[in-house]
Formats: sequence, structure tokens, C-alpha cells
Amino acid sequence: MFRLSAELSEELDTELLKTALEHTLARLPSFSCRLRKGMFWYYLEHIEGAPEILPDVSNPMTYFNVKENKGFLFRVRCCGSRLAVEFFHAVTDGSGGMTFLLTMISEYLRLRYEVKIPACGHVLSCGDMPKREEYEDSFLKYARKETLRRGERAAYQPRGAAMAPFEVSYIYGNVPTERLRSEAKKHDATVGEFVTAVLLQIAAKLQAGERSRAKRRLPVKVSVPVNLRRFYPTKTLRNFSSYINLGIETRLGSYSFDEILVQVKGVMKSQITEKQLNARFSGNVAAERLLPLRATPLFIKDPLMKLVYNLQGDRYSSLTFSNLGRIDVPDELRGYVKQLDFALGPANRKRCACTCVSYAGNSRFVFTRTFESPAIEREFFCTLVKRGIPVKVESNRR
Amino acid sequence: MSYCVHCGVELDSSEKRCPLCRTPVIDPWQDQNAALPSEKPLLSEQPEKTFNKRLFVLLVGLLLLIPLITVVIVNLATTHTLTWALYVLGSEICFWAIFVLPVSRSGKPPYLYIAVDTVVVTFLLCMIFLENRAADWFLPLALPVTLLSGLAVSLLFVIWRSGKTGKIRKTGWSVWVIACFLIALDLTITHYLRNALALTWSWYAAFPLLVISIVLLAVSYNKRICEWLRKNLFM
Repeated sequence: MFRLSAELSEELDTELLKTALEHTLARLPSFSCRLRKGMFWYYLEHIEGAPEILPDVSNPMTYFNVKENKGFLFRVRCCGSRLAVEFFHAVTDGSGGMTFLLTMISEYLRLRYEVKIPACGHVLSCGDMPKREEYEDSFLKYARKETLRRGERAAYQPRGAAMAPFEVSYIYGNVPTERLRSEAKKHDATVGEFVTAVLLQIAAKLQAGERSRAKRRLPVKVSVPVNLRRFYPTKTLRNFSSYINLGIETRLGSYSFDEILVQVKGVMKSQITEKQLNARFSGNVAAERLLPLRATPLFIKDPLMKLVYNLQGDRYSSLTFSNLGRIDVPDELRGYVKQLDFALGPANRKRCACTCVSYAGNSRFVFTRTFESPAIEREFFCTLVKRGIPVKVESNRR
Repeated sequence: MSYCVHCGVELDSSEKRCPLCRTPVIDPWQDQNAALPSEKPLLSEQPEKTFNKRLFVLLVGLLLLIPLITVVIVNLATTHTLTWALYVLGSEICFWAIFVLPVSRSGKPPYLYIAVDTVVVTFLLCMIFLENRAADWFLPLALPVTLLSGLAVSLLFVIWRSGKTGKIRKTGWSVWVIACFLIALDLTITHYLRNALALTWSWYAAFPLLVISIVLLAVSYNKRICEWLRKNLFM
């Protein structure tokens, strides 16, 4: 799951928001779906109506009962001037979710102030008809026959004392985008490469403190999702992203920051190409099309897939870093939206994830964690502070 | 604005402690007793603790299936037909209907469960009778007794589920139903044993119960006595 939220310039009117949500769902019907269990597969089925708008909570994304949400795979929350939408990845990815959020906000402002916000970028007009290409399955469309073997080593997993059930820590850090970019530029790297390298360095430092030799010999990796829309002429709002796991083999020795950065840049350049990413997701599509797999009933596949996930699952990376990049909105919208947030939900095995979204000159990092120690966040933000980048933090816990 | 003295990060005005290192925020210019502005939601979400019916039904089903499979295999291996294993099957069906069905299909009217229980017990007795036809006891004895029991329990449910009637009246009617049941039971047994309709032992039980029932019903129509009983018996 992931969550996108926007801080508006004033308190929200929930009745108008409800209407805006209905209009947005009419415009973006791919979000009006529920997950159904078939004989051989799960499938998405279109449903009418809209979910209730719920009050925001201090521990979002820890509990989601789809039945209580009328079957919808996303949830809308509102608290004061903050509007948040939580999505399952089955429905959309970060880019599609941002389109949904900004379109809903635009519609809300149109209803409230009769402000006409031009449809561009992530903002769509609710007056237009839904387009077929917005809900096509781009994975199926662009998959090819050639795939790559995906064998890789399991990665080191930072651990700590687990929090109580349904507790989660979200730590938000505001950083001026220009300062971050200029620091990254000093090392001849993009912001994504720079932040990934910092996270790898932190994970390696934590790993060095482990008592178990087996854990110290594991590679340290960061999982970086990649938006595939950069490589294909698709307008889909459904999930169309892949990921790469890039890291360092710490058993080879201690790495300096520059060495890590060289590794990160090299892997990103070689892995984030159309051919490599296509081979990766084509492998998933090919697996889906295998006759023995298709013919196996779901009641056999389901527990087996869960077992495979529990055994394999999130083992191949130590942390996740998801960068939504810079979000540009029309000038008419900029005055109403003060801040944007993007957070990943707590995962089963990987207890810490980092996200970043840049808006209006501010880059907002959100760390999601389900173990007590905030060591990763502390190291990260202190690293930025030591490099002269001012950071302002807040958290969800009181 | 406050800064953490350890981490060097700026802290949001709503933070009393640095989220990174838990160092308390002490701002000498800020009134320590004043409530900090906070837009953090107060609510915390957790699922309601519910009894997992599916798991319960699955577990009980598995627990019942294991002895059933065992006895069926042993029965078939020894006698090459299903004989005594049917008793186990019938008993397990009864157990399922009486204890598991109300849990797995809750929310249905109780008369449905009583009807199912009556049918299932009748089926079990019929199966025992068909397996072992030493005497003809099913139609003259077992069936009427089962049906009478089902009827008595249903009547008791009707009495106690009626919302507006007072407890004294409900008790009176319940005692009356029990007395009638005992009389009917006695008649059935006597008819089976002696082929005659006569009351034997039930007089001793039913008569006092009928008297109590009449007294309670009479009292229930007198508001003053009811009030006295309610106060003194803490009803």
C-alpha cells in the first residue's frame, strides 16, 4: 500500500469532497474496482458508488478491511486541511495515484470556488470522458518474449524491537530541493542516485554493528521502483512500474561514500534501460501465461503463493527508496496546495522504507518504520545536516 | 522554531521531543504549559477483536474428520460394510448441528436451529433403529419424545423472547410448559410399554409444577404483589 496526501490552504468541506470524489471516479473508472476471487485467478471487477470519506488516523495503512470500505481498493481520509488517499498497488502506482489525488483536488476547487484548473500533467478534467488507454494493462501490452533470469542473493535486513501491532512510525523530513540538488551535483549525481547512496551507506553502517557473521556477509541493497511510463507511450493510470535492487557487497570491504555512489550510478545506468526493465516484467507476464499455472485452481495456488512470498518475499533488498520526483501543478492549483506527501505502507519483512516527493521547492522525505529504533532516519537526516542541508522533521507519533 | 541539540534538525512546532533521538524540546521562550499547536490526528485505527468463525469451523471440522475417517476405514476393513461407523457419523452430525452450526451461521432465528437439532436427532435415532432392529421403538417412542422435546424447547424460546411480558409471567408459562411436557412424556412412555394411555410418575412432578404455574400467573396479573416480589427478590 501507499499513501498520497495534500495539505491545502484551508479546511476541507467533506460534503463537497464527497461530490468531487464521485466525479473523479466517473472520470477515472479504473479506480472503481474490487478484487474478486475466481476459480483460477483473482480479478478486478468494476463497482459503482464511492467509498466513504473517513477521518484521518495517527497510524494509517496499518489496517484495511476492504469489505468495510465497500470493496474499493483505495481509501480517502480527511483531517482539517489535509486530504489523503491510500491505495493498494493492485489499483495503481505512485504516478497514477498522484493523478487521482490532484484531479480530485481540482474538482473539489471547481465545486467550491468555480476555479477552472487546466488539465495538464497529473491533473485531468472531470468533464472529459474516460479514455480506454487510461485503464489498459500496459504490462500485457508491452511484454515481450525475452526474459532475464532473476536469481540474486538475499540482502541484509535491518531489524529492531518490533512495535506493538497496528503501530507504525512515519517520520517526515522537509529539505529545500535546490540545496539537495546542488549537493548531489557536487558528486555529479542525480538526487535519486545521491539519496540511494546515502541510504546504502547507512544500511552498511548498521550491518557493521551486527553480531552475526552471516548477517555481516550479506549484501546491502536498496530497492528502487522505476516508473515505466518513461520508456513507453502509455497513458495508463494503472500500475505500470518495475523496480531494481542495487547494492554493495560489504564482505569485500568497507566502502567510502564515493565508492558507493560510483556503484549506484553504474548499476542505475545499466539496469534502468528499456531492455532490462522489459525483460524483468516480461518474466512476470510469461509466468502468468504458463499453462500449468493457469490451469491450477486458486485454492491450491493461493497458499502456495503465500508460502513463496513468506519465504522469498522482501528478502532481496534491505530498504526501499521510492522517489516520485518533482510534481508540477498548474499555476491555478499551486496557491491552494501547500504541500504534498508520499508514504509507503508498512511491509511484512522490510520494516523500513523511504519515499521522496518534491513540490514547490521542497523535497519531502517520509520514512515508514515498524521497529522502535529510528537509527536509519536519524543517520539519514544527520548526514544531510552535516552536509549543510537544513532539515525540518515531524512525526506521526505523539 | 526549535532545533534538536543532538541531531541539528529543525523540529515542527507540534513536536515535544525530537522524533529521531527522543531528546526533549526545551524552548525557553515558549510557555511549557501551553498546548502545542498540533494537526496530528488523535484517532488510532485498529480492527475490532472478533471471533474468527471460519477458523473455528475449520478446526472443528478437521477435529471431527480425523476420528470419522479412522472409524470408517477400520469398520470397512473389519466388516467390509459400514455398520458401527454410522453411529459415529450420526453423532458427529448431531454435534455439528447442535454446537457448530449456530456459531457458523449466526444471526438466524433460534427456531431454525431447534428445528435442525430436532431433525438431526431424529435422523440419528432412526439410523440406530435401522441398524439394530431388535425392537420396534422408533415410531412409538423415540420419534414422539424427540418431537415433544423440540416443541417444548421452541415454546420456551417463544415465551422468553417475548419482550413485553414480565419475568414472573414468563416463569409461570415456562413452568406450565415443563409440566405439560412431563405429562406428555409420561403418556408416550406408558403407551409404548403398556399400550395404554395412563399417567404414572408424572403426577408427582407435574401437579406441583402446575400449581406453581397457576400461582405465578395469578400473581403476575396483580401489580402490587409483583412490585413486592420484585423489590424483595431483587428481580
